[in-house]
Amino acid sequence: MSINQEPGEPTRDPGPSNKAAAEPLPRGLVFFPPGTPQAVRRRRVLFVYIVIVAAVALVWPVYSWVAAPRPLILGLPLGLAWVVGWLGVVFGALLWLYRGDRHLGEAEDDG
Amino acid sequence: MDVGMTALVVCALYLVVTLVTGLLPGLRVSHSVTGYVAADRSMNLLVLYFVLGASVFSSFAFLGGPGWAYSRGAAAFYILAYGTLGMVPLYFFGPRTRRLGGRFGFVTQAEMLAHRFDSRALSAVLALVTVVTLVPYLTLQMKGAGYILSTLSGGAISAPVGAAVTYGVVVIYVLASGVLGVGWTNTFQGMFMMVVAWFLGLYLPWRLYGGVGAMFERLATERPELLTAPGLGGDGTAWSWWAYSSAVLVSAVGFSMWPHFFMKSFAAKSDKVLRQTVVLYPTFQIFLVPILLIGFSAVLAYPGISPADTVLPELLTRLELSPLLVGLVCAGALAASMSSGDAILHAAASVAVRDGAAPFWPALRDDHRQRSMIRALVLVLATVAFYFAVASKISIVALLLGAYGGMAQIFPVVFAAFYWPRATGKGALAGLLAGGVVNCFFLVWPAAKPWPMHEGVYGLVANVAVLVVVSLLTRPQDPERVRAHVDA
Repeated sequence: MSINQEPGEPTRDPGPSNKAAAEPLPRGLVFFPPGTPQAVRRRRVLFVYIVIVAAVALVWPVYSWVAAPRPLILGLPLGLAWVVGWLGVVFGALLWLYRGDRHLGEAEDDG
Repeated sequence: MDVGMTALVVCALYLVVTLVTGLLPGLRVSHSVTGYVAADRSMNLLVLYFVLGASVFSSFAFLGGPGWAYSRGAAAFYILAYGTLGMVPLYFFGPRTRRLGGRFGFVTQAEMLAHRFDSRALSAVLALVTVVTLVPYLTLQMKGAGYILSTLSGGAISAPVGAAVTYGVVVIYVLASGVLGVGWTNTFQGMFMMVVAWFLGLYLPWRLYGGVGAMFERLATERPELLTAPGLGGDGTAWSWWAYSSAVLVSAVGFSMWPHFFMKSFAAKSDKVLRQTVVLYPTFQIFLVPILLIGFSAVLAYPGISPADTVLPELLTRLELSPLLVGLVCAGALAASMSSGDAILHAAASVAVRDGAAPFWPALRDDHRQRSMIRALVLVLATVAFYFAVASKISIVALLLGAYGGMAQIFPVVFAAFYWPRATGKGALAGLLAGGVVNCFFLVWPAAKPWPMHEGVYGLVANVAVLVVVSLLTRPQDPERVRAHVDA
């Protein structure tokens, strides 16, 4: 939308084809645009599972099992080392996800 | 030259370098709204990495982080925990947002959501929420800057004068260069903050205890309750797991929704740059570890510091460090304040004009006029925040505490905009309002909470429920408009 265009006005961009626009909208959640490769879908779903596991690990009850001062891991108390460790896991998962995604939108990016 | 004077000279040099760094980008950015608000969609990996990192880590992190570790111990781990999760949504939302921005000309979060939901009311509500939330946040940054210079000069420079000088610099480069000035200064400030934080976080435990491990060994023996999560509450009693866990989740949900953070997606040069920035973000996030080490290092060495937020300046004073080092640390703290303050000021003014005024005031749709209005509002909002910082007795902290839960309420709207085609404008607006009202209710009357959870959780439950029900009860949006967002 340009600054001369109000939310209620039709978009300037032609958008999807008329045929696609005429189809009714899905009622449920749509996580992937049409044409997303299966490999990308699988990788993203797996990544989201990893993030959910990380979220569970960082709150009660899982975190309460490791919320102790000892043992010290690399000089840090167990409760802090656990959080830093999950930061590392999420970082690793993001790197893995990006490795698979790095070609997405490349033509547009290069343009 | 005494310690205070040397340190002040270092801070003055830092301000000069920041000013020059902020003014230069203004020479090459276009004189359009897109140039001023979204840097002509040209931000590279280096600038985007630091602008996203430094704009989040404010004087709250630099002064408040050590304060939390000092007074509440393991409770401070929650800051690291929510940051671990909080950036992830931007990996998915960011590239879609950037592509929509390029296609339709969006430069703000509210503008994109108003288009998806075909709702000017949503645009106005989001603009109001943004300004009401960001002005107190800016006020806190100004107070932090004023406090640092006042402490450093032994009171010779008053806090209001310190805040005025620091934020005078910010206003000049934000007016001249817009978001690109914010970006390049944040790059300089972010590097500065990281070096200072890592140095101090490793140096202080070494000097006071002989190392990080030795420090925690003593703490685990003498103050084990401080290192046992979920740590202590603000009153010194044990913090509850309900409060800790819900604070982690609500803060993670709201993390990427802050307008001054989210709207940098529009400024990214490419999807690739945006994804790379999110992937590398944990390397910035980890700098919270030395920040917490600073606070822990003072627990046994200097008990009884009050208020706890002053632990860093107190350490600098009591340790009799070299004047140059004191100056560099204080400049680092100023960098933390300014790197958030500039992004907040710029975002608040942009959103207020672009989303709060332009949709209702046709004269403002002229690009040149809109840019001038945004710049005028930068001055007005800086003045308002300065007034609150030096004169008003209103509890700014109380306003800000409500803001964190409030920001999380934007998440369901953004999620529905991209992933739920059946979501309607009425549903999104009703959900946002319901979430905001419930969040504020439990913030004001915490005794009414059924469980001692963060008020944002209750807000999110109400928000999602109302969004779903109202959307299903109202007419679906125009399919073409919805597909532009869902298939972006």
